[in-house]
Amino acid sequence: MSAAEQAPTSGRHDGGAAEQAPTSGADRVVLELDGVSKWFGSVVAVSEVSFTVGPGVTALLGPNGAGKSTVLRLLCGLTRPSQGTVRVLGTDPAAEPSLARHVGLVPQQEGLFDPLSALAFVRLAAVLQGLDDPDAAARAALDLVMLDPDDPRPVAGYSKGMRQRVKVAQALVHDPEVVFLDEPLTGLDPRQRLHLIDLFARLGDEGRCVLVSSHVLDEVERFGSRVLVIAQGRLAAEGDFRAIRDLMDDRPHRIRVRCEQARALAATLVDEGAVVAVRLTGPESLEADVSDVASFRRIVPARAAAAGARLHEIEPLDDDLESVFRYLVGR
Amino acid sequence: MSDARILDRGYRRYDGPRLGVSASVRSLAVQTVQRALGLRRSPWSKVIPFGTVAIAYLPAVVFVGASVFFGDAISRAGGIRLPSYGQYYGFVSAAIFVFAAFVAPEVLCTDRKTGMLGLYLASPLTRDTYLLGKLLAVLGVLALVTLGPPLFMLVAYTVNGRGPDGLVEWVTVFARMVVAGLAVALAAALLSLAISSLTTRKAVAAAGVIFVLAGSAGVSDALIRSGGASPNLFLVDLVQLPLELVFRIYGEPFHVDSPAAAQVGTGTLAAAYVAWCAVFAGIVWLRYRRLVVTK
Amino acid sequence: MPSPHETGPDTPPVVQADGLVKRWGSTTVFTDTSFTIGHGVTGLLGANGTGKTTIIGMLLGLHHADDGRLRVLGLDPTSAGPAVRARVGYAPEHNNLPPDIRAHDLVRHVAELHGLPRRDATARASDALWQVGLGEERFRAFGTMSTGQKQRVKLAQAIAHDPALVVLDEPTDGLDPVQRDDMLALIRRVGTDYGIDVVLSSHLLHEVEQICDAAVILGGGTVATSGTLGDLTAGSDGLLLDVDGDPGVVERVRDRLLATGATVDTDGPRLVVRAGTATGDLRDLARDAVVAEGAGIRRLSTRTTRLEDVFLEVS
Repeated sequence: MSAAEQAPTSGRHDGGAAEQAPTSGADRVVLELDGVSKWFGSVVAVSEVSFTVGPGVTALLGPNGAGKSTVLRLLCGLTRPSQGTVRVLGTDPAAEPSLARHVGLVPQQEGLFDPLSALAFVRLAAVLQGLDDPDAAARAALDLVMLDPDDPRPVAGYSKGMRQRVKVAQALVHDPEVVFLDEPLTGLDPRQRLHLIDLFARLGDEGRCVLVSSHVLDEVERFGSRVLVIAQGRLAAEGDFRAIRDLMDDRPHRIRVRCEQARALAATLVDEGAVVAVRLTGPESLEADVSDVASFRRIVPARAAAAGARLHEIEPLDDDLESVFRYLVGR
Repeated sequence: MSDARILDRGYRRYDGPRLGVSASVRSLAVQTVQRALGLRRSPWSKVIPFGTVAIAYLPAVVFVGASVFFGDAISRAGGIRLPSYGQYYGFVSAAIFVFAAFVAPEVLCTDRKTGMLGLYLASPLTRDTYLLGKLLAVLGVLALVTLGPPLFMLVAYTVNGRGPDGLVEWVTVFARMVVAGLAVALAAALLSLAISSLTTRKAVAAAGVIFVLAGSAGVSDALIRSGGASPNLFLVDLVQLPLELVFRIYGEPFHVDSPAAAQVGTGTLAAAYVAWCAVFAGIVWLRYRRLVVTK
Repeated sequence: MPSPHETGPDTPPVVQADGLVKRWGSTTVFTDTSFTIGHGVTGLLGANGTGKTTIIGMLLGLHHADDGRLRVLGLDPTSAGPAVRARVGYAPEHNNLPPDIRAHDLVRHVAELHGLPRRDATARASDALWQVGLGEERFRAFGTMSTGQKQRVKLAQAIAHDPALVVLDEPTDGLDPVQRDDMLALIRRVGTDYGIDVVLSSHLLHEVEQICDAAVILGGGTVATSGTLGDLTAGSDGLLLDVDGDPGVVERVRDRLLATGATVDTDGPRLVVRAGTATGDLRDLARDAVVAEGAGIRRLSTRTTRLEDVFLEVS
C-alpha cells in the first residue's frame, strides 16, 4: 500500500523496516539514519531524525537552514552524529573510509581543476579511487553522462551544464552504488536540467541509490515522487509525496471537476460520503472539498462512465509537491 | 468629526529632485572615503587609517608644542631650528607610504573583487566618472596626511603669533602649502591607483606599491652614487621627486637627501612629475577601458 | 494614491530593439535581432550562452551594439547611458557584495548614485527595505545575511530610487521553495502595485509562467520567439492523465489506451495521451480505461502548451 509515512512531530519513530533489512532486492535498505541528532555547541542542526532509503531516486527537500546539508554531511561521513547511528550500506561512513569506494558525491561548489580536460579531471578521480584501469573508467563515466572523452578543451571552457556533468562523471567513475547530489541543477538552463534529470532517472533505474537535494519542486516531481522532507531540523515526512498528501486527513483536498451532468454527480458524491462539501460552480462544473480522496477518485470516473457523461477535467487544486511542501514546513 | 485616519503605507512614487551625475560622483567619493577610513565598519578596519593619521600629526603636535613652550629658548639657542613646512614632509613620508599602499587597493580592488563595480556601472556613473570619484576620494584621504599636518602647524603658529608676517605673506604660504600637499597626494594617489588597477588582491597591490616606490628610490640612488651617471636619474626616484618638488613649491633653500637633487632644474622636475602622473593615470584609464564587467 | 506609470498606447515601449548586431571579437552573439518589451513583467529566457547577460548589458548601455537601433525608455543607451541608468534599477545575479556593508547603507548609497538627495535616499532606503520584508534587519551587514535576505537586499537597492524599469538577473537563485514564492510575489507586486516595469532573467520556466506577462526567448543568435505568455502558450497538446493506483494498475490502464490506438507517453508519474489512430473522444477513452481497471483518477486535463515546450522547440 502506501509507501508514505508522516513522521510524528514529537518523539522518534521506530524504523521497523530497518530491522528486517534484506541485503538485496528493490526494498533493501541502503541509507539509514536511526535517532540521529547533531548539534554544534548549543545550536541544534538536526534532531532525532530516523529514516531509511532504498535504491532509486529520492529527493531531499527542506527550507534553507533546516538541516538538509547536515544530513548530507552525515551520510558522507564528513561529520559524526552527536547521538544516534548513521549507516550507509550497513556501515558507519565516518568510521569506515573504505566506504568511499561505494559512494559518489557531487558537491555544490565548483571544482578546482578547471585547467584540466574533462578526461584528465575524471581520470584523476579514478586514480585517487585506486582503480586498476583509470583511463577506461574515466571514459566509461564520461560516456554515461553523454560527454565526449576526447574533447581536449579545459573544463573551464565548458558551459555550466557540461561542467555539472563532468562533476557527475567524476562522482560516478568508480561505479558507486550510492550517489549524493547537492543542488545539482543550480544555474543550469532548461535543456541542461532535463538532461540531468534523465540521467538521475537512469541511475536510479540501474538500481543505484541516488539522493538529490533540490529546491526546485517542479523538477523534483519529475525525477521521482519519493521525497524526504526535513523541516526545522526534524524529519517532517518521507515517501511518495502524493501518498504523503493523502495522509493529511485534516486538510480536505480541493478538487475541481468539469463534466456533463455535474449536478447528478454532486448528489452521488454527497450520498457516498466522499466529500465534506461540494459547490456547483456552473452547469458543467463543481468544486469539492474531499475527505475520502481515494473513493472520490474512483467514484467520479465510474459514475460518469455509468451515466455516459463526458469528463472534461479533474483538477486537484492543492496536491502538487509545492502545496505538500508548504503544508509540511508550516510556513 | 473624527480625526482618525488610516494612511496608505504602500509603495510611493518619488517625485522629488533627481540630481545629476556630479551628485553621483560626490556620493561615490564620500562613500569611498568613509570605507577607506573604516567608518561604519568594524573596529579593525579603523586601526590602519586612524593609526596612520595619528603618526602623521604627531610630529606637528610636537613641533607646535615645542614652539609654544620653548619658542624663545629655541630662537636664543640659534643653532636649533624647528623644521620648515617643506621639511615636515620628511617626517610624514612613512605615513604617506602607508596610505598610498593601503587606501587605493582598499577602494579599487574591493569593488572589482566583489560585484560592487557592476552595481556602480549600472548607475548613472560611467567608467570615467567612476574613476574620477575614486581619485577624488583617494586624494582626499591622502590630503589628510599630506596637507592636514602643515595646515595644522600654520594655524597653530598663527594663533600663537609666530605665523607668517602680514596677510600677503600668510596667503602665499597657505597657497604654497595647498599646492604642495595636493601635489604629493596626487602623485601617490595615481601611482597606487595604477597598481591597484592591475590586480584584484589588496595585499598584492599594497606590496606592489611599496615595491615600486622603494625600488625606484633604490635604483635611482644606486645609479647616482655609482658616479658618472646623469643627475637626471634622480627623476626616476618616485619617493624623493615629489618631496624635492615640495621644496621648490615652498621656495625653501633645502633639498632632499640626494647628491643629484640640487642639480635638477625646477622646470625639468615639474615636467618629470607631470609625465609620471600622466603615465599612472593612463594605466588606470586603459585598464578600466578594457575591463569587461559583464559579458 | 500612488499614480502608476502611464501605460497608454502613446507611451513608448519599455525596450524597442531593431536589427541589433553584437559581436565579441570574432564571435557574433546577435545577428539582426529585433524585439519589443512592453509594460508589466517580462521574462528574459535563453539557454546558457545565448546572450542574456549581453542583452542586459546592452539595456544598461554597458555594451554597445555593433549595428541596429536600441531604445530603452525611449532613449538610446549608447549615447544616453547615464540618463537611461538613472531611471533603471538593476539587481545582479551574484551575491558578491562587500560583506561588511550594512544593508541600509548599501541601499541608500545606490539611491544616491541614482541622483536622490541624501535625505530622500535615506528615507526611501528604509522604506524599500521594509517593503521587501527586511525592516528589522536593515542595519545588518550584508555578509551576515542568508541567501534569501541577500536576494531581498538586491531587490531593495534596485527599487529604492523609484526606477521606471528594473532588471533582475536570476532573482530566485538559491532560494528554497517558500522563499522563492515570497520573492516571486514581491516581484509581481513591483510590476503591478508599484507600477515599475520588470525584466526578469530566469532559468526556471514555471516561475516565469507564474509571474510574467510576456517572455522574450533567446536562441540561435537572435530572439527565437517573444510575445505575451497567453499567446506563447495558447496551444494544447493531448490529455494529461494521472491514475490513482499502484504501478501495475497504471501499466494496465496504459495498455488499454494503447489498444485503442492512442499514443501514451509519460511525464513524471503522469500519462500523456495523444489521439494517434484512436477513434472517439480521448477523455472518454481515458475514463473507460480507468474504470475498467477499477482504478481512480487523480487528474485529468487537457495538456496545454507550457513555456517549456515553447522553449525546447525554439532554442
